[in-house]
Amino acid sequence: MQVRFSHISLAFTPDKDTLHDLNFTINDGELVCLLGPSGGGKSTTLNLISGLLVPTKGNILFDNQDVTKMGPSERKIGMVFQNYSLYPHLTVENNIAFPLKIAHWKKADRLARAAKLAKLVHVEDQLQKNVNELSGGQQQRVAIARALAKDPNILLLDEPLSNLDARLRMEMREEIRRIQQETKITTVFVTHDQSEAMHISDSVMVLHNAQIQQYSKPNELYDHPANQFVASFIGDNPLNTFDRSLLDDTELKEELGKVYDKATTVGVRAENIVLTKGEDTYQHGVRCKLLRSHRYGLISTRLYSFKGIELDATGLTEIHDTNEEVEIYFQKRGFFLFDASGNNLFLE
Amino acid sequence: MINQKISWKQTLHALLYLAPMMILLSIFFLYPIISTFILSVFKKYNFYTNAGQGIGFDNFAYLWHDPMFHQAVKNTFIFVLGVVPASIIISLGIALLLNRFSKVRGFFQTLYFLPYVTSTVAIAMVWTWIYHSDYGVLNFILKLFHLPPVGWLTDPHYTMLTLIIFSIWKNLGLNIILFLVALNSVPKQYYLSASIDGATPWQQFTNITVPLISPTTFLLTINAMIASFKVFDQIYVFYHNTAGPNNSGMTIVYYLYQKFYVENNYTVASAAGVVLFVIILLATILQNYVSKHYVHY
Repeated sequence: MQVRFSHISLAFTPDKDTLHDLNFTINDGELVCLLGPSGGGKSTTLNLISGLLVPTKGNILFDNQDVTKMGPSERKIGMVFQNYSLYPHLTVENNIAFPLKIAHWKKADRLARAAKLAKLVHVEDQLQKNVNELSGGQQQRVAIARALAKDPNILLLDEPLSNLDARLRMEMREEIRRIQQETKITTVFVTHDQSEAMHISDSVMVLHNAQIQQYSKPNELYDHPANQFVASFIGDNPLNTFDRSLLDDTELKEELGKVYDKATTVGVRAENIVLTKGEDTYQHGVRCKLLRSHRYGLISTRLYSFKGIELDATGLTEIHDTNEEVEIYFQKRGFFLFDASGNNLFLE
Repeated sequence: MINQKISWKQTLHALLYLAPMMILLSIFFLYPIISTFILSVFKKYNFYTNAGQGIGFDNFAYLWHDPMFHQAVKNTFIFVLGVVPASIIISLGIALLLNRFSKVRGFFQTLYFLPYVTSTVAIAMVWTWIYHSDYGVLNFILKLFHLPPVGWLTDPHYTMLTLIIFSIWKNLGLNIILFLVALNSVPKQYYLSASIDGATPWQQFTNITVPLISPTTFLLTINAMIASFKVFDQIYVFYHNTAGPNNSGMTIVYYLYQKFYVENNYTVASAAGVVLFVIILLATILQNYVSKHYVHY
């Protein structure tokens, strides 16, 4: 089912919008991640889709039907909570069948449906167990099965992986992807972990400061971030940023051309700093000094000093001495110029 | 330390620490209980010399044939069945209401708790006035609805009802407080996820609230049941040292009291105590058995 937000605003207090003028469309059968830091409005957006919250302004449409005033059960949504919210007094089977019991299904029918869903999420051998006996990952699977029980229009997941340990998190995010593709259900997934969002979703919506910062394909976010916030939020290494004026007396300024004059801030990804120039780099580098370096597994991290500021560089393999002056070059795909309001100038 | 075997010396050491409590328990709990059991099987007993003669079940046979004791057992069961379910259901209902209206909660909580902390004798005095057939508040209310006045404290047909109403009211305070604690300990998320599935408030109550507060309900039921089997002081106060008009308020403990202090029939009183002990024991075992299926911890 397609979900459309049209000019949605939500204010908990009259003077401050928690969400301001949101417009977006989630296509049928897509898995969309709502990504952003805490307080960015992603859970609020999810609750607006679910119907647990009602917008102050604007309309919510499911397949062109206005559902703004409808409650959660009328909208036919399935929801998985961060702590799963499984009923401790019910078995796995009865937890999955619970929404059907509420809908007055016959016992045999709902148990048959529960068994089918258990198979889909791979907990068919745990049906008679108490939910407390299950591991975190299994509880997660049961919660998803329960959310799918009534064959909902949309599946909503609120930070579903944050209670799991790192390894299980990777396993479960693949599982969620598999289940979503098998059922082809439109899915909205809230997370604050950018790598989770990048790995699992068809599209990612970055929310910050009550607004959508960018809504696009995962790789698009990395390659062409809309603004400085997205550029620094996406990626495993922090984005190096410094004031444009530091480049004023370099030849790089000339090479960048007219766009340079509009910029106030320069951003460069740590993995896009190299020591030799090539086709994919700017032809002019900047001189700086190696402060220190360390290596962990495949990744070596170096800290260069450039006109009093520090630049992180990862992915360098050539060895040179500490304190030695070298020329470093910036690869074009990881180099950004931002204007005063943070917009990526290369996108214009 | 953890993997060491426990030596005799260590055990003795531990016993030494336990001794003060054990001695107190033995004197004030264990000894009286055992004495009661022994007393109940003596055929003859001298209170002043504490000497018993002959062992047998004559006292129990006496109870078996005593119509007054039959009346006492019957009344006690009527009392338990009248008080326990009603007080649990009413206090759960009030707790649910108070849980909704958090602003007035503290005030009503205190109000309902007052009878619990006040002496039964003192509040029973007040209730004798409420129950008064000519000047009582209760009859005044009945009159407003054009109902005939009831001799709450004088009509033998109403004795048990009088006692039951009073006891339900008296039990409310503690039950409400404990139910409120239990209601608050149910995570809100369960209601949220149930409401997403379209559960009505009643479905949420029966499917989530009732099972999740069942440990508290069970505890309160057992507690109320044991207390109700032992009902005594309100009868004593309401009916001025009698068991109600025409002994209509006779219960097992009142019977025991009567035999022991009034008739000085110590062995029969002890036997009645043993019977009460067995009844409460059986009822508790039954409840424990039932709870295995309905209580979720």
